[in-house]
Amino acid sequence: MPSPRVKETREVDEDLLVEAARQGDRRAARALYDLHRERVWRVVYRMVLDVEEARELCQETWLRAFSSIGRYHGRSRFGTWLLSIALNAARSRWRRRKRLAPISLSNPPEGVELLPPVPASQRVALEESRRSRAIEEALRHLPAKQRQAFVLRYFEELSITEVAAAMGCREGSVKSHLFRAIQALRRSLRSLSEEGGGHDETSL
Amino acid sequence: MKHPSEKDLVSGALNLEGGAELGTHLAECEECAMRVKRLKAFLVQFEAHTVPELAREESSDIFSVAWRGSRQDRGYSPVSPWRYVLQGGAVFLCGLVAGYFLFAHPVQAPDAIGAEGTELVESVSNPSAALPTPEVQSSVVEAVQTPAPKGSDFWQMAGLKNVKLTPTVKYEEGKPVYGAVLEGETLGGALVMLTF
Repeated sequence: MPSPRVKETREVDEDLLVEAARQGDRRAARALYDLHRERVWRVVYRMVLDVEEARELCQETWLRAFSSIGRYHGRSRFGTWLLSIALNAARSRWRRRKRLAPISLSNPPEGVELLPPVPASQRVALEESRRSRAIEEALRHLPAKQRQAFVLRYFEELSITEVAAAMGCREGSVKSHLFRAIQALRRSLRSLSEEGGGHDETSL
Repeated sequence: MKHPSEKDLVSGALNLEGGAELGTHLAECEECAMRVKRLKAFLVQFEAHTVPELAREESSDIFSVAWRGSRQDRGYSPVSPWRYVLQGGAVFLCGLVAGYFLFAHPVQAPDAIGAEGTELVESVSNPSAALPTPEVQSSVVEAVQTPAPKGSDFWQMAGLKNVKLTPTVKYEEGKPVYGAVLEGETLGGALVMLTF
């Protein structure tokens, strides 16, 4: 946990970097990019859950950010402003493209082949990967707003105020989205667990 | 005892703000504390979700493309005001040079053109008239051989002679930047080369 002074220094430095980048300083822009690229990548990936699409979205986010850095007035933190751009870019993309229908593992559509059953000896090694995929599948079924709220609050540990600023909505709405997201995730993981024959860990 | 709503319990599990009252209740109510504990256990499994790493080269590419693209979007150049001044200067100089060649060079006298034209018409109607008389020939040769004036008043006023102005175009990030190279001598004989 950084001390307040370190945090304050970092914010001041970030303001200077933003100002320099606004004036066309490439090195300052690169420093800003390095400060935030990992978080932007994580958020964007969890929004689309596809590496290729996440890469394109990431590109779009940074392009929009640098193009409109002159319009950043420091009302929120730079990172929050950046995330709001990422969320908007994701939203535009969702609007442009209809979501692909999720594939049911129990009834795969014609032409889709499932992998053969994994030998028992490899099951333990694959368990983490399976869990990660199950979580991804559950996240994929969340409506956009709920997914955004959950990703920013749970994975990125943003405060409710910051999540609201990034999503462009009120704090009360964020809490509602979070509540619905967790309920939906519990339902999804429960059904996936039943499909996979595992025990139910999600009931309260 | 009034139990908190499911929404409040979720807030508690996510360590959201305003939890003092909830905290007091959870300390007293085993049932609610257990529900929050289960909810936290449920949320812990999301830690298993991993995000694939973005390769360093790809990350650099993303920055380069975004930065370059943003500069093009904004029509930004660190020397943009000077670029416009230089481009304006280059256009002005080109205008001066063009003006010099158009108006400072002697133009063939209208009388001579008229004489040639008359001669051509006569040669069509009367082939014998096409044979040039020595007087006509000499006058034409004399007109063609009239030497062009060397230098110009403009360059002499500027203290230069034998001036050669070469327009140049170079490309910076795909955009043409116009300029010129001026070579000449001062009236004292010193070589001068200026690049715009």
